[in-house]
Amino acid sequence: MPTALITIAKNGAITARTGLELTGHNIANVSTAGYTRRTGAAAEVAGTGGIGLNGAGAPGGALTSAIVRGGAPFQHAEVRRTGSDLARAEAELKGLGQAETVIEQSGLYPAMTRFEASVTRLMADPVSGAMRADALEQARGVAQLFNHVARGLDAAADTVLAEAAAGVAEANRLAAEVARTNVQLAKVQEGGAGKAALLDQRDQLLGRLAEYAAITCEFDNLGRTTVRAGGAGGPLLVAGTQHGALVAAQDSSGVVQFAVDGEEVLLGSGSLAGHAQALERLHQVATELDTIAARLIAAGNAGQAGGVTPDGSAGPALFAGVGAGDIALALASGDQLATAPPPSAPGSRDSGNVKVLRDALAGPVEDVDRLLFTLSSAVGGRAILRDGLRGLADAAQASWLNGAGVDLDTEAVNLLRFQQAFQANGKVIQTAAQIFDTMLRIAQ
Amino acid sequence: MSVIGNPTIAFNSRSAGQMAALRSAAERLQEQIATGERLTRSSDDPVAGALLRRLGRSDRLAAVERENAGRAASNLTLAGEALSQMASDLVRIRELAVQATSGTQSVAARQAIGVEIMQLRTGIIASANSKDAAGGPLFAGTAGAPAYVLSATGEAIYMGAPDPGTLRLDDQEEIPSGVVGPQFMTFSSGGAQVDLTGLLKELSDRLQAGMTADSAILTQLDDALGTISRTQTVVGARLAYLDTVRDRLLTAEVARAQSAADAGGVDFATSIARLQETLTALEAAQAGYARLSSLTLFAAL
Repeated sequence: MPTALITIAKNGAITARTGLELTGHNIANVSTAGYTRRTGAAAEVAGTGGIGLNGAGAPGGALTSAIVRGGAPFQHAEVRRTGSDLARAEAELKGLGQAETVIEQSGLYPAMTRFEASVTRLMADPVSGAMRADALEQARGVAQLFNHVARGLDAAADTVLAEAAAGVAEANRLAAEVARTNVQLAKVQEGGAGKAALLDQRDQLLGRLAEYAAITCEFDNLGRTTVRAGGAGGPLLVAGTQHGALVAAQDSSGVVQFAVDGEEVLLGSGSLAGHAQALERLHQVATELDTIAARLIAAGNAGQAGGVTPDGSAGPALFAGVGAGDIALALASGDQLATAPPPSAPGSRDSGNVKVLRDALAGPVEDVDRLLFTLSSAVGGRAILRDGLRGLADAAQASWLNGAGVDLDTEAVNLLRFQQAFQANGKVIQTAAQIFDTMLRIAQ
Repeated sequence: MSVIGNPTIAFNSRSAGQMAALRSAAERLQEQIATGERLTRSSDDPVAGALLRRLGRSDRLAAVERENAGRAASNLTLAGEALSQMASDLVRIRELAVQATSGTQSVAARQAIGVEIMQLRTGIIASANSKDAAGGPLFAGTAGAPAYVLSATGEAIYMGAPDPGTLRLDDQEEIPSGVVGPQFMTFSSGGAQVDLTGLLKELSDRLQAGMTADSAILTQLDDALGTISRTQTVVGARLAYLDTVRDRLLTAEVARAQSAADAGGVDFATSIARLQETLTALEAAQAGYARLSSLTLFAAL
């Protein structure tokens, strides 16, 4: 009988020590990313069979049957989903913000109004060499800024494309890791520390994968994951130990398509979807800028062609080129500005054609204003959406951490609790030993 | 029993996030106060951004329009001065003509009067060829050449354009930018169009030849003076109108500045109060975080 007591106390001490170890482990990992709080599931041990006093029904103490991870799986799914949405919004906003910065900070609009003002000034004295030179330099500035903005938009698109390519590579790497984790999950002992660590790793990988691409996850009883890209009907990205290859391709209209193993997939969230949306938008903005530049070229040249220069000849073209990328000033000197309406004698101070030129400029100036307004509204609206999504993501993260995170106060209490349990079990062993000694003394 | 825990990692990241938000709000307020601008980029407030852009454009164009109106006003002032000079020359010519028409003058005196009239005629032609502030002809309309040139026989011939040209004051309004020579150098008298320089040359030639002047010349000179003073009135009225236009542009500029301040400006009192409020909240949050994070059960173990 005392041996049973010793066994009971031994089991209890082991359970308390496991509890202490897990508490220590939790404290050590208090700020480890992706770590979930571990608790020991203590189970009562009862004798199941035997001879004599240790027969069935005899108490056997308690043992830690499994290491349990904190946090509810559905909450982690929510963390993945909201994180994925946030990543998309952030990536899109970043791309659009770059476009806004390029167009607004370049000062294209002020430069165009300066050009407009220079032309307006010519109305008062159309033959002034200084004013003509000023108008010409302003026109040159506008052309160069169009080139600069076109290059800036290209560079922004290149950056987003490079980020998307890096994102695809990272998503594929993470998918491979998930597949590898699936292999290991099948091998480790159920309820062990290794299993918990692998599940942590799995959740963390899935969380990071979701930040790149929208994924749908299904888990089997061993904790292995089947990952589909996109919605529930999407192509398999990870199935058991196999993983697919995600690829991105951009067509000529700027639209980015994603496919897994050749099967096209529509990604609704994740940073890759955001990059795709940003690229599409950047392409649109660049196209629109080209249209505006073409309109400016046409308006400027038509205005010039309808007038007469001070030497009496018809006005040559103001701009060369076809779009924002290659628009350039075509006039060599201010004397080639056609300020007078036809027919006018050489040296005419009639400013009739200046009005035509100025009116022609108003259209493109308003177009740039509209482009900026559309873009800044898009950026402003998406910033608000991003903030909202960040709130949701933070809330999901908080409610997940509520179950999964390590609370130092709880651990401090557990430390005391398990320490006392350990000491109490030690006392039981001591008591058993005393009983045993008493027995031996009786026998002497 | 369900326990609402406060995981350390969540507490720390939440506190850090809150303090960072307060800090960036304070920095943003500080930036607004330092620059006086509420918007750093259009997406902060797209509508206000667009409004500011348009106001900026209108400002720039209105400044040029005001400059143009000023230039036109100074040219009109110069024209007015030239016309006054011509008028006083004509008054003197009329005095001389009165003397010349009376039969009491000797031949030599009439010849001297003829020479003086010829001189005054040259002065009138010089006034008609006056230059504007930029060096262009004042009374030649849209032409770049001097208004009058003397032919080999001494006739003053108008070389300018018939059209004075127009000046656009704003999007809508256009006024003639000046007056052209023929408007005051030719006039109608007795139902016929008379050229002033031709008339003076004829008078001078006649006097220099020793003949007396016809008394009809006085009526004609009166008509010429009348035409010049009418032109002066036109110039004066146009100047007054330009002043009105400039005042209007200035009023519009003030109104635009007000709109710009409303849309994109910073109300310092409010901003500073909000900055103070944010800083107080930030300090309180920092103090609270420091107190809370030092509260640990481990200290009691």
